Amino acid sequence: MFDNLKETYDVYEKMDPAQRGSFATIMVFKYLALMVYYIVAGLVIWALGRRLIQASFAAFKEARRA
Amino acid sequence: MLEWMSLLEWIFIVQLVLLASAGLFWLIGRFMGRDAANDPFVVYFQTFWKVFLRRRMALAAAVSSLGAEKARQYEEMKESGNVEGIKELLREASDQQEFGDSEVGAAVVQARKERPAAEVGEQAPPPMATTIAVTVVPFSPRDELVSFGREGAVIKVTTGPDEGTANKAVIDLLSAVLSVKAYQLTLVKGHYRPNKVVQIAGLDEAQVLAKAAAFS
Repeated sequence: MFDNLKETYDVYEKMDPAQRGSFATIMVFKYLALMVYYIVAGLVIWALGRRLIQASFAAFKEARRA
Repeated sequence: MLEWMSLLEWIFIVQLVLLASAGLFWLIGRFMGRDAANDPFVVYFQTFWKVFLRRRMALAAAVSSLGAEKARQYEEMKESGNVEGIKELLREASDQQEFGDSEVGAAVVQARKERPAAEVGEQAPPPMATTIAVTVVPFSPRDELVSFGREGAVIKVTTGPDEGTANKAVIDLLSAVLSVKAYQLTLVKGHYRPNKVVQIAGLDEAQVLAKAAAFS
């Protein structure tokens, strides 16, 4: 993601100042969407992982009693 | 492939693989469970899915369906950490639906966490409770208390170690001998072993020993 961002910035710097406005708007929205994606994916993975670990430990305790 | 898939996505795939394996093993356990319901493998994957799918919601529904008197008993048992008593109460109230130790235990722990700090603090007197060691002799001709003393109790029961019937017989017998309600007795250790530890809520050690002396 960060390499891509650097490349995009290089392209932006080489552009004609008149064209920069719309390009910057598109890029800002694109990277905002990416950030939202990573935050949501992180939360989903964190919640799923937490529940997986809790369930594993609870099951281990119960199985040890059996 | 790594180019278009981030670390997060890889972790997600690993989690899905783990869940799929747990599902497969649960299915295998379903077939195995017909012959060996208490097999640790079967118990592990059954409990895993119960906890993972939040069967605590079912527990909450069962609790909310309790009448006023039973709801009060439930609160008392939750306070004293009587997991066995809660299981028994909910089984009666929710059409024989079984709840595992882990889900009921989690509700008890949650209740303790939610209690105001002042109640949990030093001002609150510790609940009076005594633990005793109990040795159970299964498949005996009748249910009887053989001995009861400082070293613990020996109890003969007619049933075998099958789906908690022996544990229930032990609790019933001890509650009769100690003149306490069944919900005051909690099986702390040895749910599936002949050597058990039972906690008696509401009696101190001297009172238990006095009752033991009266018995012998």
